[in-house]
Amino acid sequence: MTSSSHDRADRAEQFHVLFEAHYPKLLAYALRRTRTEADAHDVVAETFTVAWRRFDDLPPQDRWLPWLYGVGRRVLANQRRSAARQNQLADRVATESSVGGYHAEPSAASNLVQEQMARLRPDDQELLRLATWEELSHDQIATALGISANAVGIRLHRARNRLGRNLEKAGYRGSRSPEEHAKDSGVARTQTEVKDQPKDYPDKEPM
Amino acid sequence: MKKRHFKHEPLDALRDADPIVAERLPGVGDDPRAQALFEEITSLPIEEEAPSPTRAPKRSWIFQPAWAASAAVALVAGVVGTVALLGGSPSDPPDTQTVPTNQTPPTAAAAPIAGACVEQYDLETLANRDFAFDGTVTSVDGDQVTFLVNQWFRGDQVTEVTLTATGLTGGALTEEGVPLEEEVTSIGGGLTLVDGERFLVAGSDIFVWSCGFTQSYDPAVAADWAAVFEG
Repeated sequence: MTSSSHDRADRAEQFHVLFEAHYPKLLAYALRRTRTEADAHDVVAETFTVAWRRFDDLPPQDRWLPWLYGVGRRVLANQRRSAARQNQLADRVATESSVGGYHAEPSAASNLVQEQMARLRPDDQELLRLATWEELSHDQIATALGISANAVGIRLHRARNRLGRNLEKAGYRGSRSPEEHAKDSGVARTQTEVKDQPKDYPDKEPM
Repeated sequence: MKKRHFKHEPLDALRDADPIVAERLPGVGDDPRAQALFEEITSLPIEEEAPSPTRAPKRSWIFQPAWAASAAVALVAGVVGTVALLGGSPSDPPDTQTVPTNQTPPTAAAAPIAGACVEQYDLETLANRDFAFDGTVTSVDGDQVTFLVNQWFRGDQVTEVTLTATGLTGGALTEEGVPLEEEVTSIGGGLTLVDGERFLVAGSDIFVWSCGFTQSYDPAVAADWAAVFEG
């Protein structure tokens, strides 16, 4: 095996670790932000292609996932701009079915939350999504968005408050009790349970 | 300086509204499409072997994004612009052969990236902060920092205060508990709040702000801060 072949094999082996660990999460990330499953798979493919080409420039392993989200975010932005330029977005929505199989059952409560989220600035929406759906810590969000963790904490706090006010005005009544939230995955997620937050989530926003 | 409470925690509401049930997504080992993607990507030339390619393969049934024909596919790794977050128009991703000079990899910053701060510090923006004081750190617990206040410039006038100082407490530790030096400066822009040290501290709500709004104590700067908040 030549030196080049050996290097390539090593890279493929390490890339496999990254790919296997993070493919499902990156796919979930893309599915949450695209209109069609095809678009989501495109985003995933392009993001991992970048990771392959620039593997030597990746951050330490514990930051791979937020780094992938950061690249995926730019890929998504390109996808939307290109679709707008080609005037295809409306056609694709009309002709392609929505993501199936992985979708949660919509409810009145979730629809209301989505409506109120849509009223926030795009930056606030992405902060909130990364913190809740992708379950990133402040440091990880900082890596994904290229801002300081300090700024993440402050902006997330403000975005949360804005969403909370919107939900209250819209008459949101909740979908689960605070106790059910607290039991879910052993993670204390309600604002009043700061002191009970498990130690295995040290970077979660103090609630 | 208390966090606002809602009848229904908005973050919980958003979690419950997650449109995707992630548990339903198969792992790579159970997903032929993922396996095929892996094979296709790892067959691509890497930079050292092919300096010119800037696009992912278009012939494969996997790589057939309709939009890719007019968009540069490859991005410089680690370059996540702060422009979009500031509301500006994101530029098209650069070619793989060039590295934008106005952006830095998010993991390599030794100082705050321009735009990474909530606001740029100066005495005018300082005046807008909810609180400001001269204080000495008495404890650091995660990102919760307690200060013994020597002098209030604006704020509650209590003797001791605990605030959230995300990104300013180091946070990365070796197994022995010693902070990794490279991590200490990578997040907070070089400033770390250390037990026993004196700082000029400013912020809003319950948050200590970085980017100059909190800095090591300096009597001349303290005098400027006092003047800002007079009257």
